[in-house]
Amino acid sequence: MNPWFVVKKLWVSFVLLGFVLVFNFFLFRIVDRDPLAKYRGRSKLSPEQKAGLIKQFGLDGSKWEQFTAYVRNTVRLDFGRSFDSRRLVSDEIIDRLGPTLLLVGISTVLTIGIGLWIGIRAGWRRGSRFDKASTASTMVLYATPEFFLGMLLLSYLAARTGWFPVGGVRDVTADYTGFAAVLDRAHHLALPVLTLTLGYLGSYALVMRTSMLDTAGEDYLVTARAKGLRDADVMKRHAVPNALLPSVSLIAISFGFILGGAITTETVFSYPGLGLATYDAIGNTDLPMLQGLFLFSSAAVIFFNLIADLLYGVLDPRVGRPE
Amino acid sequence: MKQRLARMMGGLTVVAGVAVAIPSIGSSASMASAADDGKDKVSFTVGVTQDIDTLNVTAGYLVIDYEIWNLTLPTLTDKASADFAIQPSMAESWTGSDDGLTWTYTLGDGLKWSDGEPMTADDVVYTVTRSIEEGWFNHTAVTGNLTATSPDPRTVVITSSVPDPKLPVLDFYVVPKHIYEKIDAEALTTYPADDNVSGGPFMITERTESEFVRLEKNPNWFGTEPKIDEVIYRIFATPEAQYSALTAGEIDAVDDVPSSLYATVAAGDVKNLESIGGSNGSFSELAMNNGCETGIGDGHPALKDKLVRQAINWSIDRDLLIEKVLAGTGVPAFTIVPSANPAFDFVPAPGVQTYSYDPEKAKALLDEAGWVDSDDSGVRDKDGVELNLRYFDRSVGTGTATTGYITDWLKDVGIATEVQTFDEDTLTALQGKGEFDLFTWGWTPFVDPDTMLSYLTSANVPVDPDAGGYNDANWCNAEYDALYEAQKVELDPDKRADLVQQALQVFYDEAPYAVLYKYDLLMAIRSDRWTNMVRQPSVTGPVLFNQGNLSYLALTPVGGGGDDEGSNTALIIGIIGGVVVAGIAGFFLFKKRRTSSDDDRE
Repeated sequence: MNPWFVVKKLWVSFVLLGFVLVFNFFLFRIVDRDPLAKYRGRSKLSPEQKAGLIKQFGLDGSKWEQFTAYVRNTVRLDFGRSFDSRRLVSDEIIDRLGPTLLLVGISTVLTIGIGLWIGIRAGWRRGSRFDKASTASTMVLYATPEFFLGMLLLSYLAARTGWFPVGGVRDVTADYTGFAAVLDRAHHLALPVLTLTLGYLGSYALVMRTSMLDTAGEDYLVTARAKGLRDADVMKRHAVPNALLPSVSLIAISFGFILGGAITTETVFSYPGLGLATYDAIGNTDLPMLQGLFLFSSAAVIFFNLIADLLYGVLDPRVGRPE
Repeated sequence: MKQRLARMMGGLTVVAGVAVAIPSIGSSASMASAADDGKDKVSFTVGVTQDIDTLNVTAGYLVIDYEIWNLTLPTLTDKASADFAIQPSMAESWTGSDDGLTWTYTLGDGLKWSDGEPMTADDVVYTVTRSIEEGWFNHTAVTGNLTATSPDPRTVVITSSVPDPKLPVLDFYVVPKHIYEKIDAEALTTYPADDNVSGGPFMITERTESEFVRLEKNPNWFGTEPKIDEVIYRIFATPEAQYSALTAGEIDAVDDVPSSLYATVAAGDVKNLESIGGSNGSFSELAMNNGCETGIGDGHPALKDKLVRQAINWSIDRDLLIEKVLAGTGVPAFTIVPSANPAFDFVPAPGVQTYSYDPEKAKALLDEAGWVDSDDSGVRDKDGVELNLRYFDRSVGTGTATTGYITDWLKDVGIATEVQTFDEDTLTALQGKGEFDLFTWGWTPFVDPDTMLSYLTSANVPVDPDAGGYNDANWCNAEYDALYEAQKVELDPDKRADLVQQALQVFYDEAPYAVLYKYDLLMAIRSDRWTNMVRQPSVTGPVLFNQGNLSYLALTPVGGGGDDEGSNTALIIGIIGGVVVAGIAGFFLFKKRRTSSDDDRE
């Protein structure tokens, strides 16, 4: 791959991150939120304490001073303090990161795996029963909001049958250790993962199916068949690699969607990750927390876009080639 | 603000209600129960929709905070479950002087905090003295006029500077001196109270924000031994999810059954569930900015006129709100509810029609007040000022559900509104600055009516935007103040009750709030696992979230402890389910592959 291509992509990501950083600062200062609201009327804070809190929140000094301090601190991964808990936002994010990484990570892998598999099969055997059934069902899943899907799953697979827990990350009444603890976590993860996976695999399946259809008529497939290759090999070696390209960029984009979907899914399942933290922060107008979460998720999406771009260059040699 | 209710009911509520209601009713599953698997521990898990604000008793104010303090902080005396009658707790006996100003309490022998430190008269004296010095807002309503001394470690002498009907109950939480003396006044305002030293029946042993808090039996508790080893409050994002967890048997009780489902639980139509809800005096109101002259802020001038305020009261259909918003689980209210004890409720004079839905009367009152629609805009005006009111909502709670109804009714009588939604802290700050016209919120009173009555006195009108104040109607009335002061020092219970009624009558006539309704706490418990649910007060009160810890001490597991199906069963079933699904998927894949290979061969 051309090194200039890599440098260019890195530079674009860097500029984008810079833009988000600046935008983030102003976005969360449009809202006129009293940072000391929590303390008014019930705690008797001295003027020094008030000044101390304002300083802690990084809201002292002029807007310009606040901005430079914000950039300086953010670069050092210090996102300020939550209005609500007064803990460091970075600590809050780290505490909640594990459950969300598990949820979003597993869901993303499953969504990609299952979605692409369905798309490939459906596109390759266009008009087959599998194609008809899968296209219809993926359309429905694609159109269903994931929080609604989550509630349906919660109602039937948790509340009614009791097969899965209604929410949480673990059974707090039991002291599981070792493998039992892992199983307990998995048991609690099952429904949120299923919700996110079902909610997002539709887009992969549909995009993959369309691009399989596009490649189906290509000459090189006729050539491959003429060489006497088995159908499965034609599909695997010639059709899929070419059809995969549009899905790669989709992976990057939909990572952001899945992360967004985690907000509603985690809320439905009372799953204490970054999504639920976002929901709570919105309810409390906890601006530093929202600012940190927004920056964090933007950075994650930019990062995955970068990975996808680079991967694109590897998969399609034409992309990284000098013009 | 003290005991402001802040129940989370997000925007998903309506959809969730529909989604959950269908399968949950009549559900028989209780598979995933996890009360005590793999060990002998008896757990009582309560689902809550409100996370702890702070464990610091000098700063917290949410209902869940009070519930935790009821289980972890001792009080001098207790309040009987049936009728709130005084009974021993830290103090095993007490005697009063003839003038009723001085009371001498004898503490139980060998009392200890959970960390083994002795719990003595010093702790009580320390709490009284420091709470006055530093103005701890959860304490001063009771301790404000007191001085305390401890002639010996088991004797507390309390003297009040005025006759005080709140004696000898002394309803305040005693804090451990050996912990609090290390924290100075400045540090205390933001102290997270994570010392976890308990003087109640349970002590906090584990807490994860937004997830759960675990309280285990305090080995040094001096009272009745609870039959529960641990109480867990598990936090849910929506009432629907926690109700599902209850029907599925994951938890034992919930604090907030969706009102649309409560009727079926209360009727006994849901297997294994029993309603344990009731009234603790909580009520909701539409607060108005009365624009007290000594206060601050920018309330609409129309609301200074009691005729306008009365008109607003007459334009609200309380019965419809109760039917639509509460699904019938409340009763109309016309004044503040001063006490958890229904004996103090406002009783209208016989033959007097209380505020009811009467838009014509409302219009007549507005006309009388001089607010008429002179420019035919549909909105009344006076001296060039339109009757257009800012109407504030909270981003949580049921307030928003009432907004559409109330604003429509106000529009019908010619009052325009601009609705804005705020988080609770911001709304509290706006209220403290007096920068509002109308907002909806609610209060939960204590047992003694004094505190709730005090909130609406002139002394509590905010005068400093930074300090705020409890009087969120910005209302001052000399007659009400005088009646408040009179009941505060009246030692004869009957005379005092009469003074309270007179104060409520003034409140009714002046209408500083449009009180909407007194609502029931909608709680439910697994009746297949728990028995001996004790209400406070008897018959009408709730079992949990009441005025002490006695219900927790009475609660008894069915059959001596827990249930027989643990979550191991659930785990095994989950694993089997997973294997079956994987098996089917594998079979499907394999079959497909073979089919395609067959195709190739053809």
